[in-house]
Amino acid sequence: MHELSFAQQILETVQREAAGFGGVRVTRVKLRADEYLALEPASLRFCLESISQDTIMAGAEIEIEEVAAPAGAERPLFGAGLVIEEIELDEQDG
Amino acid sequence: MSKTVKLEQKVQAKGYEIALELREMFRKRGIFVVNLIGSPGAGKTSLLEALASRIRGRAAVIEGDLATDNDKRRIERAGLRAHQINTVSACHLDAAMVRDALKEFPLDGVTLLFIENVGNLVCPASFEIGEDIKVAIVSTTEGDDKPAKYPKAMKVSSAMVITKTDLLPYITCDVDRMERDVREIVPDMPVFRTAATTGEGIDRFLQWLEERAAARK
Repeated sequence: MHELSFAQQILETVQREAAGFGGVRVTRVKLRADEYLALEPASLRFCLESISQDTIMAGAEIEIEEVAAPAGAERPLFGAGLVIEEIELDEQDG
Repeated sequence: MSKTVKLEQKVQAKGYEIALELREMFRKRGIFVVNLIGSPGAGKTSLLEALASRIRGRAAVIEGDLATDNDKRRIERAGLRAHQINTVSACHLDAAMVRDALKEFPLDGVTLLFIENVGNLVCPASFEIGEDIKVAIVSTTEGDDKPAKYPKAMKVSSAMVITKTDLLPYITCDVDRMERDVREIVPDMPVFRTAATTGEGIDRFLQWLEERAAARK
């Protein structure tokens, strides 16, 4: 339900990080999500694809790994839960 | 030429900052906040009415509905301070709505705040509104497969309350199945069986809430 809010933050973060490299395209984004968030991967992917059109991240492959919380762990409430592990950059042609 | 850049960058959904601020404020003021989520008609307001006599003076309620202030008036009649948020069309309360409501709702002397979310087992599960815990309310009359059908609502909750147990003789509902199913999703989930009309289970649930509130200090 709140995949769009996360997608917006992911796009902003990726744009900011990739800007430092100048003249690149982002071809892959690897995300790690706490299963507590119960993020719907298809929905997150759809949101990212929609809002990243015409940006540095357009067409990037989105990898989402869901990670189980340790058994008996106190459920994280804020801040934690979704991490951009890594991004893959390609120098643009021409 | 392709290059992989490791980021390990945490991502917060936009709007979470407000929820964080709210929680910080509640903590500083020593207020334990419970976000009640459940389908329309699950018995959220009735549960609060049943709790009211036991928590008068130290508890307050923020009610969330699309329309009417019916629930606020019910809670006030039961003896608790209450404030009504009307979302008009939003299917869930969000942190900004709660922040705005608090501007007109002083919580002097309140150590226990209930926020009764809009009746909905889907959307409220995705939003933090400054609470310490969410509690899922599921009635015996909704169908005993509801915990299984709404795993996210269960995952984000710290307890499940099964309401309207007094109706069990008149309906088909496997309450044990509800408990089993929720524990498939959350193995250690505390489950409480209550009947607001008779008061059954209310004290036990309140005791658990107070223990949780004390543990948080």
